[in-house]
Amino acid sequence: MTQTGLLPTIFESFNARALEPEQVAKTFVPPDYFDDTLKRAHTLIVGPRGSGKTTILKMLQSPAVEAWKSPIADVYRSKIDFTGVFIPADRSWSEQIGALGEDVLVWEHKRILGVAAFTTHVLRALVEAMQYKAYPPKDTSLVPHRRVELSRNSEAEIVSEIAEKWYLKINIPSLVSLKHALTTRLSNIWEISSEESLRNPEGRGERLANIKYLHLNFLYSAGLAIELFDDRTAQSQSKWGLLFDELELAPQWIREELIKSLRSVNSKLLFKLSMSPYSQDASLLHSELSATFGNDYNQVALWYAHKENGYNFCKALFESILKDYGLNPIEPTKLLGRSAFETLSEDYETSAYRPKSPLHARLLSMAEKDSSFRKFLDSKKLDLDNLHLLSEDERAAAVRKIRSLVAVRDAFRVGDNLGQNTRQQQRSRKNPTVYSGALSLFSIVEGNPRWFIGIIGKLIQDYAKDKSRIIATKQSSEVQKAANRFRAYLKTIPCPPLKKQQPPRGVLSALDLIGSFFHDVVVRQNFTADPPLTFVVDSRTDDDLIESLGRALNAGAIVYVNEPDSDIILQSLRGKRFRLSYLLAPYYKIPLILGRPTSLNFILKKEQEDIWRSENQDSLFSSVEQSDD
Amino acid sequence: MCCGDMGDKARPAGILYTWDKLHVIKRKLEAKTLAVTAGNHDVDSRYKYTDYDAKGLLQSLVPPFPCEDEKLNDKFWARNYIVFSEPDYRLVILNTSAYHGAKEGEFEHGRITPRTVEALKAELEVLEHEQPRRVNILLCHHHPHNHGDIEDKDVSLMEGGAKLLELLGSGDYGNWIVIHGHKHHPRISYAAASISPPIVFSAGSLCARIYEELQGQARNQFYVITFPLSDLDTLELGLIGTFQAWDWLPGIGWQRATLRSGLPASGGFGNRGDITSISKTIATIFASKKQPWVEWNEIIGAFPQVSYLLPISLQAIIKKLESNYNLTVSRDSDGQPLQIGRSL
Repeated sequence: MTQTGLLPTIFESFNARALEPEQVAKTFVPPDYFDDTLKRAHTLIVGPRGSGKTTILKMLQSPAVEAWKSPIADVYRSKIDFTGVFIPADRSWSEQIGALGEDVLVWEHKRILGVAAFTTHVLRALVEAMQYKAYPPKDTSLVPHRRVELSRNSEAEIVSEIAEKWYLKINIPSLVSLKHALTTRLSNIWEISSEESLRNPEGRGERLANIKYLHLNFLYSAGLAIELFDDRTAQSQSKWGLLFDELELAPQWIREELIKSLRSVNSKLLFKLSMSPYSQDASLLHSELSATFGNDYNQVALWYAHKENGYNFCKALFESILKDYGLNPIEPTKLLGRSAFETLSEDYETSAYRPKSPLHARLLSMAEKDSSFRKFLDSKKLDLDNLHLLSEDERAAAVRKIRSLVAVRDAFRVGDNLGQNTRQQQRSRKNPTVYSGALSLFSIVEGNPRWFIGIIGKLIQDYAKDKSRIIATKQSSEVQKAANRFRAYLKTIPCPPLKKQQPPRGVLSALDLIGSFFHDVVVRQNFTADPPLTFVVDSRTDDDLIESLGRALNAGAIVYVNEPDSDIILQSLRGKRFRLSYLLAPYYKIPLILGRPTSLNFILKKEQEDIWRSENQDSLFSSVEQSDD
Repeated sequence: MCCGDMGDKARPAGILYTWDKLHVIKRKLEAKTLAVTAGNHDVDSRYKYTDYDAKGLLQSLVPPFPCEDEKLNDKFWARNYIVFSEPDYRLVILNTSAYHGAKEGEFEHGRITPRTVEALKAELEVLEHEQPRRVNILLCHHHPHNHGDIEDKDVSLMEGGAKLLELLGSGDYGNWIVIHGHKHHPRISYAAASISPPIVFSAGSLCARIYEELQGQARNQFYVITFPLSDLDTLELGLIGTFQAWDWLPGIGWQRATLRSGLPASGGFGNRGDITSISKTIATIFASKKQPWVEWNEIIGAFPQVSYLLPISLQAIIKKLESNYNLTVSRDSDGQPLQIGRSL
């Protein structure tokens, strides 16, 4: 779900927001959940930064649907049985008007002007979609999707009628002119705001009340135009999807307006809203949607709590990027190697555990230097030299689940004789290669297209240049670069201080405490086959910390481990289970597995005590901090 | 085509860089000819980098400047102009900075001497007698006539420019377009009174810092100029053509020009017809279509002459259509006419 033809620098430069729908379609790779977004139902598309919300919505518009050339595109084209109208969040709805009349205009007047700008935007996007249906580009490579025949006389009549209802004066009765008139209206609204902020407030309410177009309701106005258009084009049964992107950027009054509109009984309209998982509108949304449709609405989560669910998409994206560079298809494991965290196929499994295999060597090394691991083996009556002789079920129960733990523990733990239970009970590795390999990288990018392109796309780009194998250190180095940038971003998310004299590092401070706790359990402490690697936010957790973690969730730094069919938009994080993003796993030196849950308060308390105890010892992550601080 | 000033104040590094890049562009466009002339900034007239040879750097450029042919190059430096005659066009490259560095104050303006005008006249006479050309282009650096809309006094004008325009506009040597630089002010105009007044295309600067007084009406631009050979024959309007213009936007790159860029995203030149009668023709075509509105392209299809109006003439016609015929012309985001019609 992404534009693989454009290789950006990590994260920021790659954003579908700036791309035309045709460009988005050029290299779109549909994720598994794309089907769910196409349904004839209101849909909430929920995901963190970079998860592809904008791409998905842009792909539901006709210009993108028609330009999509992949072999699977035809299947989806027939499924998209509505006309998509993409409405990006626009600053004019809030900031500009808010800023203009900051101390001058009262909230009520700012709201009127903001809603009017919003309505004008929606109507303009609608007219643009109509225009495309009636006048698609004369490009024979496009595959027609929901086009209509519209004579100029019919168009003139519709446009004249719409213009009258929308209080627009147009000189040429064409859809283009209607669109231009709406553009002019946007600038008029801006002018009114500016003028009003300078004029005598006396009579302002009256003045604004007299400007009729400021009081148009976007839903009725759009509904009316759609009805006129569909009737004239003999499409009275057709549906229109209003695709609202980045809802959280819109001011509260717009969000309320929009959420209320979900109650609309206009059966021609479908709403597809993209938003972040942590939202203050969650409860309002749920109540509006549930009340109206008897729960008949879709929620589509654009993240993968369980890493395996993202592999298909990553594999497709991998193939697409190779193709883009003109490279022949190649298995990801051939190019990137196998992951230490991989679940092996049955055939491979037996040989993987034979004596002298790399896996056998790792287990042996661990048993030699770690008495607690030896105890674990003894308690399970496991003989490392005979693992390959175990039955599939026996192995699954005893060894398979500890492979990931051993991989990390072996990579970062020093021998028992070098000290027990200290912060030095670990090897310092600047560039841990244990996280290399195809499936590890697929897990680390979290199925997030922006991260995928930033890390794996970059590796493929280099491969395309010199065709040399993508070695483990190179993979780790790309991951580390991406993680460092991500950490720098996370520092900008405010967070209440969690310890005395804490430097201002935003929500990263909280994440570091959690990561450090998980690392201790997996690497430093006595071996356990089922360590906690997820956390549940307790009811007692401080509100400010919850707010910070909510923003970390929206940034993709923590991942909501949701139960099937549970709500995926959260008003509060309390009682919910989360894991750290796997992009941060190499930094914290923790395995790419889910692990059992533990309480956030327990983690924070434990870590604060530990830090207090080891105040004079070296910083846990000093060796890899580098550009990060 | 490059109208000179490859560098800034004769600094060799800039000139060498640009000369190399011009050839890269030529290669990429698979262009047959790279036409370049010398600007005042290409000649070391203040002797900052050399002590006696102001044009020395240009003469030592590799590949040779202004063209590959050594004989023509010698003529460029000795006679201050050269002529290329191709089947479809004739191109004169004129050096208006030829005397820079020779006499105090000379570098402040361009010059074509009566001797050069006479020599050019003699050569054109022979060439024209052999085979006239439909398209005749003169490339030079300095402007041959003033831009009255910017400043009243312009001392950097090409001295002798009036004589040059008189020669080219005499009608004896075909119809001409003069393409010049120097002003940083994109503009197309027709030369003052002569029999066949040449079109004067003032190319904006590709990358110079725009003077303050021009900032509201000029951008860094480049152009694609098209001479429509078939319309040249059929429309019988003299020399006509169209251009497309791109603006440089810092941080963004090249974008289609706007109405406030100097020259707009596209336009024409050469059609000097009466705007009242052109407006009337357009209104008649519109009426004949019997539609509530018509695409501007349909008007052009029926009346191709419209494509070759100067942007300012087109603007005047659009105004007339509105005042005389109650017809509105809408424009696209580049400012180009899109549709014409009137409300129901």
